[in-house]
Amino acid sequence: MKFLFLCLLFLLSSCIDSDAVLSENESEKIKVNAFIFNDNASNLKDTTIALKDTVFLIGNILPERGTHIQKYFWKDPNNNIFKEFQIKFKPTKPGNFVYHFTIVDFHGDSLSDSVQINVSTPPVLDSIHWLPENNSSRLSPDSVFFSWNASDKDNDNLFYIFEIFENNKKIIDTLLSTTCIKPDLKFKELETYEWKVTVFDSEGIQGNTIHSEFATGHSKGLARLSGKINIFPDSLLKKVKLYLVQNDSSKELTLNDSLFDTGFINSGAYTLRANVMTFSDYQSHEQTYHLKPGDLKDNINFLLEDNKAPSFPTLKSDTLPYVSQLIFPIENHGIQLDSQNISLTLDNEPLQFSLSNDTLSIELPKYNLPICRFLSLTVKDINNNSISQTFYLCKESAWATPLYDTTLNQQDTLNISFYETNPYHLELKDIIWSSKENPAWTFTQTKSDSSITIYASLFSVGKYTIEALSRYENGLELQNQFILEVKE
Amino acid sequence: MISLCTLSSFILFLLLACTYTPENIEKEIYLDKAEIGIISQKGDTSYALEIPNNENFKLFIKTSPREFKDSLEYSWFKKDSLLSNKSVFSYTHKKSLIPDSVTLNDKFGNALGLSFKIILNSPPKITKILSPAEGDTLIGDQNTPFLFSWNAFDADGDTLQFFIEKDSILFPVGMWDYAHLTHFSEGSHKFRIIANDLYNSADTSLWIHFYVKEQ
Repeated sequence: MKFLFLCLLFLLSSCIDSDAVLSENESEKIKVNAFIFNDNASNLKDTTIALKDTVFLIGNILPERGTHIQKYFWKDPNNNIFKEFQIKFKPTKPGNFVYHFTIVDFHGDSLSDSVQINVSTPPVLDSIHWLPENNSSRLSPDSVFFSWNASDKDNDNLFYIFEIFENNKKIIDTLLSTTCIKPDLKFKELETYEWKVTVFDSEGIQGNTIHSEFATGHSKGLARLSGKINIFPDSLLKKVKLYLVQNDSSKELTLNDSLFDTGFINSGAYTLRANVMTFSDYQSHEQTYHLKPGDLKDNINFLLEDNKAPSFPTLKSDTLPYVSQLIFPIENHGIQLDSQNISLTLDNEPLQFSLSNDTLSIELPKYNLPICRFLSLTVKDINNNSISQTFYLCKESAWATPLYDTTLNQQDTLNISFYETNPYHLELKDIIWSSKENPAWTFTQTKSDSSITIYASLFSVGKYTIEALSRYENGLELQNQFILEVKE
Repeated sequence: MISLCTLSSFILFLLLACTYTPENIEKEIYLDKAEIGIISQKGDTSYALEIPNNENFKLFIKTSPREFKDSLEYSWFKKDSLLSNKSVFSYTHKKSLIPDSVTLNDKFGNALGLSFKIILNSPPKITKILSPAEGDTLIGDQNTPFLFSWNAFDADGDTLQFFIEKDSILFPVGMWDYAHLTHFSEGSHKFRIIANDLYNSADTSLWIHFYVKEQ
């Protein structure tokens, strides 16, 4: 019985450890803090330092008095134990490290706090290879630039303090994020310059510094023009010819895609001239440059544009005969027109058309009323240059003899004549007569033949559509047609 | 008086209460991380989402923990258009659509969306070595700065970083397409140019051989 009670007491005491200093309730009162003490006397939980910087870690307990602590220690990431409240050390390798500060009471319960130290590797400047090479001499003052290499194991963004000295006097002191610079500075001829670069990472950790010097020679007087040709669409670049002209001599420059470069040339006056072959709506562009020694113009932008609107055939009157088909050429010397950029209406109603090689083919619906109709046409080219015009289509014939549907006996003839000066002031070039049903009957009537005789005997008995395609000097073509019925 | 049996049962209960450890509690596991990766035409894997233009590639998702990989459903989108439900998205350059987001769905209906941008990069091209030309003889001495110049372009318009390799020494040139180099001894030398774009795609020119003759 006694034994059982002892067992019970033992078990209860194991489950409820009421004397532990850091028991649940006690630990709410006791606080343990770990922090990094830095030069600014501020306490940090984490910090970034350079390799071999001194680190000072402090652990403390609150309240400071009356706490029954058996042991306290710092533990480093390698599980080394330091039985101190404060430890001081210099990290020997880069990386992120967590240090724990722990206190333990007489019952083995513990509280702990930690700090993190990020040890950054200083960035490194390549201390051998840079430009201008150390002790370079006779450099042309016009073309001096500075370039160096840097690396950082932590892959931080790097910054550079770049300085130039002339006779020990600092003439440039600037912060850079790039590894090269061409200072906005006119270097003197026959002068020695010192320059140095110091690298820092984004945490402000300083790397090494490179020192170098160079001497200028006489200005070589070299200059250079380079830039880009801008043309829309890009496919026209192969049609662009670019010339570098000086006095009477001209040299064609090769385009690399859209870029051009004269290479190094002597100072003087030069003209760059760009033409677009075949497409005369694209105006040629030229620009003259007066190049002084050392002028490096590398951002030239030439814009070549189609800035000429398309045009319609020249007409002495804005009235045209109402025919079955109107072939309407549009004058355009840029990129071929797109039917989506053409708007055509007949009495304000959209009218179908087809487009081929900048020529509109317009089928006009059958119409017998003697009232003129309005044909409105708007054309835009690829650069949005546009032209609009309204034409009046009137039923009045261009022919002295109107072309009506006709019935002939096989022995009959039909004589058709046209106006030498027609009511629309159109200058006739020729007329092509044809019949789809009788392809053998096709011939061209010249301007000197003022009339045509159709012999019904040339046709078998039946119905024929006779087409007369009148072609005019301004490129316009009008097609009339009528039905010829031949009887026995 | 407590009976021996009752007391024994009580002690047993206490023992069980003190030694009980919960078992069979299902641990909740969450998807910690999902990252888009790219497999190039050559089979290289990268998490920098840049690939040479005109090459085929595959996109995949790296999940952490890894066990999620096969239990998720994948939806690859271009804007709002669904392109594929496969876990690996294959792109062939003849097709124009490249996804810009992917949604991962688990069996409980939870979804995780990731947006990304694939950069189709055109490598730089050194188009011409302007000077010196192959076989040129340059007249000067160790102190003479000789001009080296070239043309290069990048179809994406990236700013290029150049290096010039003089014999076997590599000098950074920065963004300029020319450099003056000195310290040439009399005799045969060679150089070549390396152009790097923003994504470390590079072009290297052929070696140009030249001869330095002292005055």
